[in-house]
Amino acid sequence: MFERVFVTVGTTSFQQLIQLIVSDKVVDQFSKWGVKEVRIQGGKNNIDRDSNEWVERDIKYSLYEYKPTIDEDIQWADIIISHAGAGTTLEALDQGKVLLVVPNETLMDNHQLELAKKLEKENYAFMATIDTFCKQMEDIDPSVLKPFPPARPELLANYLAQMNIPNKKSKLNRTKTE
Amino acid sequence: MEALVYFVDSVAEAGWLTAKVLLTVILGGYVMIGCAMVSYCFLLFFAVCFKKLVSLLRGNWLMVEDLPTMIILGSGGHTKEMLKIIPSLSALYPRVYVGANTDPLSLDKAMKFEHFKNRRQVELGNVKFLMTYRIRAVGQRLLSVVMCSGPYAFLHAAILVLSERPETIICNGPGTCVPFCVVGYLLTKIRVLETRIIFVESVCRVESLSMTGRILLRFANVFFVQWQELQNKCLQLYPHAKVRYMGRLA
Repeated sequence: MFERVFVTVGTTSFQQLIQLIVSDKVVDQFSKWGVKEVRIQGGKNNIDRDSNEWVERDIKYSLYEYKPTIDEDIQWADIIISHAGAGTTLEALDQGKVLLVVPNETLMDNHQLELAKKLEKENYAFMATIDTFCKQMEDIDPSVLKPFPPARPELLANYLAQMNIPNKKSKLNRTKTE
Repeated sequence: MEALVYFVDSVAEAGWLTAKVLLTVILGGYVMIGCAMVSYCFLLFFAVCFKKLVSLLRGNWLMVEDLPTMIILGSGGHTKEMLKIIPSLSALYPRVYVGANTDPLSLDKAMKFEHFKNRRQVELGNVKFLMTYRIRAVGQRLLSVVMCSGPYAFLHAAILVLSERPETIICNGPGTCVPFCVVGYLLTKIRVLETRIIFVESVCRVESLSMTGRILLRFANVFFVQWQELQNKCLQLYPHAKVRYMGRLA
């Protein structure tokens, strides 16, 4: 179903998710999907492997802590398993990828949960918690997903222009007429 | 026995003396820096008032100069959202980016964006990048914010706002923007500046406002949220506030 998987946890550390990803149950599921390569952006983690690249049941794993930009990996992947931070989530959805978000519930007042719930309710992405992760992985069906409507930052610009927030042009006009 | 007591006494006294000296030096340093910042604030305040007075006396023509737009960057997701919103605001030049000193990465990203996309404006010198003190680190207690980082952040924000005299402050939810918005609001109230504050709540917030959002409800001139549910909720909870929803901006 999916060949390339990208797992990301952002700048915060989210060890539970990384440990789940390398656990046997999830590896089983990956081989059911027919995954060939998994890339993991793990942040600070305590996985003891000898090297950052290993092969398990014909699946190639590679792990790194951080990169300045992960856009490349997001483009490369078929499915993205991610924490529910706004940056990664929106980037993945804007590129029309299948997304499975796992809210990091240890963060301040669990603020990632709101966005994750909303995305699931509107069928833009799948959501799982650490406990329901394996079950959710079995149930994933990309045909349910709806395309994510694109952002419209120009609305703000239009609004500001209407409100006549003085910018260069309006000022010049004003001085000419007066 | 007496010798021992004498020895212990003298050691204790020496320790106490060192502690006192250290305390004086550290506290003195803080007070000195604080005083310098406060006096610089006042200096800038009077300078701006004087400029305003001159322009009023001479008629309005002197005030027609390009005042900048201040864009306040947070960290991580906030910066990413902001950099999605900014490209559509191409009319708002010159601009000043403000970032926190603990997070040079966001300023770096903004710098890259400006250098690649708006080379001309950068060459004209219309883009500035400034650093400020961070008011609250992730997970910091409220008491330590009020006692330690708060006053410095506010003073530095006052210095930056008075020296840049922004026309518009755009921010989207990091704690760093609170002092800037409050200072801008107060200076606008006493008619020293004419600053408009535009707040865009983060996309993450679907059901409740963030801490920054709740504070800035009073201070922002335009307050945007990015989900319909949140607007409905805000209209119920804070009927006096004008919370706007137009669609997802970032």
